Amino acid sequence: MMIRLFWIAVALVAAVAAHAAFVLFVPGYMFSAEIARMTRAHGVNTFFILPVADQARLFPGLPRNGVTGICLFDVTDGGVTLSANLPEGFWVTTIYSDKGETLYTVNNRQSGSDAFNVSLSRAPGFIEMLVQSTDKERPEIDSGWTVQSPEPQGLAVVWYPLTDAALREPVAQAMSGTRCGRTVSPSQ
Amino acid sequence: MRRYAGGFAYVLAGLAAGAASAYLVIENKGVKSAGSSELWTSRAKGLSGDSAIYVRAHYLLQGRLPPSTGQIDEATADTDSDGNVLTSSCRYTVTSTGALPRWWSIAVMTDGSESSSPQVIADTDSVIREADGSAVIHAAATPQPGNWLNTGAAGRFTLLYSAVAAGTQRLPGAPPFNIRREECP
Repeated sequence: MMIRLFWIAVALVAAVAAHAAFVLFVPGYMFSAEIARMTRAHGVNTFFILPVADQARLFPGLPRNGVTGICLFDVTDGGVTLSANLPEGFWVTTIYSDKGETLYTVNNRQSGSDAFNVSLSRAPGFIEMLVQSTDKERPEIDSGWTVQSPEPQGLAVVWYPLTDAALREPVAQAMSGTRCGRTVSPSQ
Repeated sequence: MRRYAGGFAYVLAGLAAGAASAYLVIENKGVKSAGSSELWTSRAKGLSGDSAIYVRAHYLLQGRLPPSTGQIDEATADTDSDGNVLTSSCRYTVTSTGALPRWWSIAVMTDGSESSSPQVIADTDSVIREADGSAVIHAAATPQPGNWLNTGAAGRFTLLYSAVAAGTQRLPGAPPFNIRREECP
């Protein structure tokens, strides 16, 4: 009887562990395959326009003739800056962690400008926060918005809906003026 | 030896139950009626609540990104306004029932790979409005006069409504559309 109770307890612990592991790791692992595929094709810390087929897969609710630009950022070795230079009109920019968490989002009306900078950096861990508050160190903030990511990798997504499919090419061309790359500090 | 085999079976059963319960919770947690109507359900609002980790997992398992929290809202309908399951063998009329947001779209989703055809989405910019400003969209497997949503031949499908708020305004709770079945063989 005691042995059966023991194994039932073991089974319960295994169930809780499997539940937590599935929720925490399986969706991220599945999605990381998609990220890895895009990284192989375009690299990290570069801004590119998503092909229509990829756009349909990643954002099935958004119209196919809109333009979606993406920067797969990696802040492991330092900050990354997204310097958006978008054509006038309606757009939405969203910064996601690679776990799908929305870190920051802004649309054209909230921004007030079609050209802006978003500085991305790694959120400090607990020890780093203690050290920073002791040393009075603060991350450098340039002109624009600063987003700290809890994950080393993520996606910056710019979506620009269009009234006419014929506008896709010129708008994509105009959006290509957006830059994504390592943040250059003033001392460099 | 037999004792350990029995114990191993308990552990295996526990692992399977844990994984299965995780999948079930991911599929169902955070799904709520959008507004007072039972027609549209939404999980996008769950992205900022206690069940956010499960709701995000649902989107990532589908290989897609969740809608931008606070910016884009989403709701889905699996049935028409009378509660009948949406199927591509029938023809439906999707009609706006109130003020429409700054930007909205209605997309046909099937279990297969997402189509890159523009006919699977109707949105603010592509829909021709009626004289009174309302939007009437025909969802069917064959071309229809006026605004047409191609439901394909996949059988059951889901309508996905997306909307974007204007500036700092909040979106209304329920999608302002009803779905009426017109013809079914």
